[in-house]
Amino acid sequence: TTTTTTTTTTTKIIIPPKNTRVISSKITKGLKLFSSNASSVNKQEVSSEYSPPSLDSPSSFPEWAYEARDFFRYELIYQSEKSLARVGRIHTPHGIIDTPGFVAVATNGALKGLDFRQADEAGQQLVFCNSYHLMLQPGPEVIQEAGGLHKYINRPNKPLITDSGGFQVFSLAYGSVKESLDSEGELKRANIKSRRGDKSFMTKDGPAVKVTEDGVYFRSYRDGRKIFLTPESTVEAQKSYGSDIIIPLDQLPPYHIDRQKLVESVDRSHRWEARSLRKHLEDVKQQAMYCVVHGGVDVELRTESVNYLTSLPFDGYAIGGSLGKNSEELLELLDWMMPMFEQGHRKDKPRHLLGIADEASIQGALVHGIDTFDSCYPTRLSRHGTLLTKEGKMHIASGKRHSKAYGLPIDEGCTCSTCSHYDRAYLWHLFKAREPLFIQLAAVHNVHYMNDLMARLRQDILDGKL
Amino acid sequence: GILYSILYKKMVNNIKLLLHAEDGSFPYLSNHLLLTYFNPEDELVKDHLTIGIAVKDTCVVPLYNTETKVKVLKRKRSNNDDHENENEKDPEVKRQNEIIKPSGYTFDANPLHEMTRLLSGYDTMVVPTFDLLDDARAAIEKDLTAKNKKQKTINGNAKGNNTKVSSIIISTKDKSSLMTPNGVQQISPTMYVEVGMKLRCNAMLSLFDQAHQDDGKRRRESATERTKEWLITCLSALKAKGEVKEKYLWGALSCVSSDEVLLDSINDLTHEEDLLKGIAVIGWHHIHSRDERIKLLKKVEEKVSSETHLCVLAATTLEQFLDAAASGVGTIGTSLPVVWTRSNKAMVSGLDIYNQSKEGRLLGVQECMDLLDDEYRNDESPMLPNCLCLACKNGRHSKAYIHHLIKANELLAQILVFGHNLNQMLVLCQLLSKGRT
Repeated sequence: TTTTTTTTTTTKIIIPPKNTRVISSKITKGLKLFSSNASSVNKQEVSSEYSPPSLDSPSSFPEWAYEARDFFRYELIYQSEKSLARVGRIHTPHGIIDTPGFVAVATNGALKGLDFRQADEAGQQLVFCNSYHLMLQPGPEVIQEAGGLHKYINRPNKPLITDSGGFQVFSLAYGSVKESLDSEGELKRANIKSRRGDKSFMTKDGPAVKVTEDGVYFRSYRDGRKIFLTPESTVEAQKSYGSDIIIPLDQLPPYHIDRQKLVESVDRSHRWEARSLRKHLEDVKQQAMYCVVHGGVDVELRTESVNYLTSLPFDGYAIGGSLGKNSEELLELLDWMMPMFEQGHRKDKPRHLLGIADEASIQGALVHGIDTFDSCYPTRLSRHGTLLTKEGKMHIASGKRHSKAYGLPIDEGCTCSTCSHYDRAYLWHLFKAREPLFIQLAAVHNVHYMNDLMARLRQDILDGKL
Repeated sequence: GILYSILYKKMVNNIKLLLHAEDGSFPYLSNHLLLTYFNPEDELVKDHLTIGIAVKDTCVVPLYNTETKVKVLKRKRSNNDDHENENEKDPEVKRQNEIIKPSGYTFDANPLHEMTRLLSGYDTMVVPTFDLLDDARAAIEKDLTAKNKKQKTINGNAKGNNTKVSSIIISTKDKSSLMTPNGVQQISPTMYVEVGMKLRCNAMLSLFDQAHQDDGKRRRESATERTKEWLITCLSALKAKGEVKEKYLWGALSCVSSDEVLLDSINDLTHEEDLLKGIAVIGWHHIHSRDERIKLLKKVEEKVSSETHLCVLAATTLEQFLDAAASGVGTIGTSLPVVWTRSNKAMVSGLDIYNQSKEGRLLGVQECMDLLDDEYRNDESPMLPNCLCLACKNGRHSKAYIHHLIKANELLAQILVFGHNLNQMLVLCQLLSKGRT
């Protein structure tokens, strides 16, 4: 159904049916927290002049699209009685993903410093490749000619997921998550030079990113050329890649944004995602498409987004958009939002948390029913000399601590090839000497650690501890 | 492709690649990859690879003196790392983040296999460094880059620039100056032997001093003299240790002195031949002309016995590598696999030994392909058909993918290309060793 935000006098709040006391109390808590204390959301009421184009109704999609897929499904193995945590498996054409599971990010079709064989031995199942970067280099046509991404990167027997490029719209316009929080949503000036010194792309609002109803204009960071990304073109690119799971185009607004703009952004994301879905259904190609739920930290908008997107024939749900200014806000958001996914058919589909996979957030989010988490965090840490251990993060740069730590592995009990062969003293030396080998060894360990962590957490759920 | 023609005067039975493993281990390749693709038990590796371990890289340790005032440096935080802000409140983490500056540096070592976790079984050789002049030049370049290269030039006239390079290496009569990652540190022959032995490698090169061909006569002769004296000192130190078998130490030969001094040095070395594993010619690649380089090796070869092993440090081009092999050198030091990798070049040996006359002519050697070139964008073939390296075996990775990785600035590109280049160099050594009858 089409929803419109009303005038200043009334605010419509959509509350799902009160199936359990737990759900309704969480919604109430969320309302109290976010509606009355919305320091991040400007309390300007939505303009009465705003009348967005109508959304695609669920009935406008073919019936067969709502049927279960034979190539992709979520299998529930165990539902915790203590929380919404669950253990399961996602079955894809290229292999199985145990959940809850960690998804390593291979932005350019390669994990930093790691051959995929090493990553597979470290237990890595699903790998995330970024469609935006691959579009610029080498390009969808090259990958398609090679026979698809699995063949191009030579990872034929494990699943891959690609995204649309929505996050890059955000990062180009607002910077990193931290930058956008610090700048309170101020647009970043792009330093992208076009070949001909063409400044027409720079709008008075800022950088070379322009969002329109049809799509979004980028400047390539490689060569400055203009690129127009639409919901349809991003799906076409992902069809060329042949990844197992694909994601529609969405718009990610910053945390600090006035409500009018947030509403417009969420509505636009809904329309884009529906268009992407429609394009995807023209030729499914044994790929599954996840929707991306938006709405910032606004209860009404999040609820609206969940209700609308889960009514469309997506194969899974990704939690995206701005997820709070810190991990406390993230967990509070999940606390009231995730119970909505326990209703009806929503329960049978996998849920993915986009861009967040630090240990604390994983432990907090999986009890709310999140199945997979992606982040470049572990591999990025390895480049900066940080290693993950059961005792916390280890910064290998400290000479006093590690230069003479002969015979001591990074993490006692870790069975990764780095810990089996190398000690901290040597790793310290490699790091100080800026040897590329350090990045490799650190990445192997960190990826192994994350997969071990997820295995322990799965076991904890099965043992009734979570 | 570049064509070479080389005359063989002496067929060398076994040619070894002395790989400049700057940090005591294979660059780019973890033990995990080594076990699979460069297993020390493989004939190719066992017969044709020696790993050169430089003391200047691996054996420098910091000194922490509690009485001295130390500077506490805060670790630079990455702006993108959102998670660290929270963890820094933890005093333990905060303490870990502080880097305490050492009061000085010294040389010390543990057994190599413990220190670098290099798999046992590889043939290894300790060297003080691979080339003092190259180290000094690298230090100058680094300094100039930091201080704005536009303001200074190092390419003055031939006399000017090399004098400047040599002035960085201020060795004394008793100690050699090594350019370590922690600045210039001095090491005596006795300390060098002590540290080198702790590494427990299969062989050791004696400590040497080095001058450039364009330095003054006095400088050149003093470098040769010191190298000779330090060889004697190293031998004495080894004898005093009493643990080492014979044929452990390589005698360094500084090759830039006048003919008389050079011949004297060679004579002195031949007197010690029974004790030495072989003779290593230092700074060979700095000799200006190809003819002079080959002539030098000929002089050395004529003087030494046929059982004496010869080594050169180093070969910086494939042509030099082949020249050394043709001149009877058995161990050739080089960092070509790494240098090519850093330039995105993959070796294409295409080495066809054909039309071999009695003199032994090698024709048709193609050197490298530049994988950054866009012609490889859609090339689905491996770098070299039938190559058994980690990148090419069974057509594993295509040129297109490696080209993409290079363009995307991914480290994996260098790992794959280095694995390929090293494999190809070893295959080249194997082919040169076998020759054709």
